[in-house]
Amino acid sequence: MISHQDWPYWLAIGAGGAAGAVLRGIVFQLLEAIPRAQGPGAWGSYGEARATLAVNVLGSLLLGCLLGLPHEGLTDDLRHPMQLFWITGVCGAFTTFSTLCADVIALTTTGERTRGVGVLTANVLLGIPALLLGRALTS
Amino acid sequence: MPVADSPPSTKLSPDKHGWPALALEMAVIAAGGALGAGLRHGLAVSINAAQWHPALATALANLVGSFLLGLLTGHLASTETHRLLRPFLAVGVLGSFTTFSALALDNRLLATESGELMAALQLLASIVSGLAAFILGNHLSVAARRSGHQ
Repeated sequence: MISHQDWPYWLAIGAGGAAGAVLRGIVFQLLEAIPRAQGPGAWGSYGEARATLAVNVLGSLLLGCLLGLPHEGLTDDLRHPMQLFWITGVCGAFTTFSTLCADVIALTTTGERTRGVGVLTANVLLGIPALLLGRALTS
Repeated sequence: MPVADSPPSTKLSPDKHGWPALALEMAVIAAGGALGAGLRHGLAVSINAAQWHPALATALANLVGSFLLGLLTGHLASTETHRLLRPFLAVGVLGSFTTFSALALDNRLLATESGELMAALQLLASIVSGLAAFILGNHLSVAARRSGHQ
């Protein structure tokens, strides 16, 4: 259970989570800059949905790569340093589910239902194979 | 003739506020991200201690996080709030509390453990419940504001 002696673990998670979230912020910044340069509202919610797709696929690929590396009992051990910083922290925070839901609802409620269903499907059909590809690359 | 101030942006926009403002937004995203990941790990530790299925930790974080983002989105759409509230809560805390990579991993672990049908059901249930939770949160925040105005 959680105790005050666990502070190094929480520090690892916090550092990983901060790094993952900032990297996600940077990807959004970069991918939203392109439609913004083409005029305000040129892409609507679609620009943001594409950024979410990018972080989820890249983050799943990274998680796969990490899982392929030889580490004993990685997925079972909640205290493994690799698990804490990289998997729970960086990969967990870099990828997001709530923003994906927000994107899909924003697209479908603004009449872009096809794009909403499209990005949702793309997240699943590209994200899970990316995880498997990453694991195959490093193992 | 003075130019009217544009409403405060809710997005990251260096062209409007300059690089120091962007650096501040990144700092609050980092703080929120650390908090969100910590909360998600706390949930995983609790689920583990209760000896529930580990996939429930990610599922629960995604469900609760999507509901809260729905609430927040409804609030931000109608109310003028502090410029850093969206980067901190939506991008940082909730973006980091919810996760897609762990969902994908749980899906593959579940496929090995219980077969592809269970894995497909987990994925479908996560997505449908996440979208429903977001919509519910969004509607609740709109309804709460309407009743507050009366």
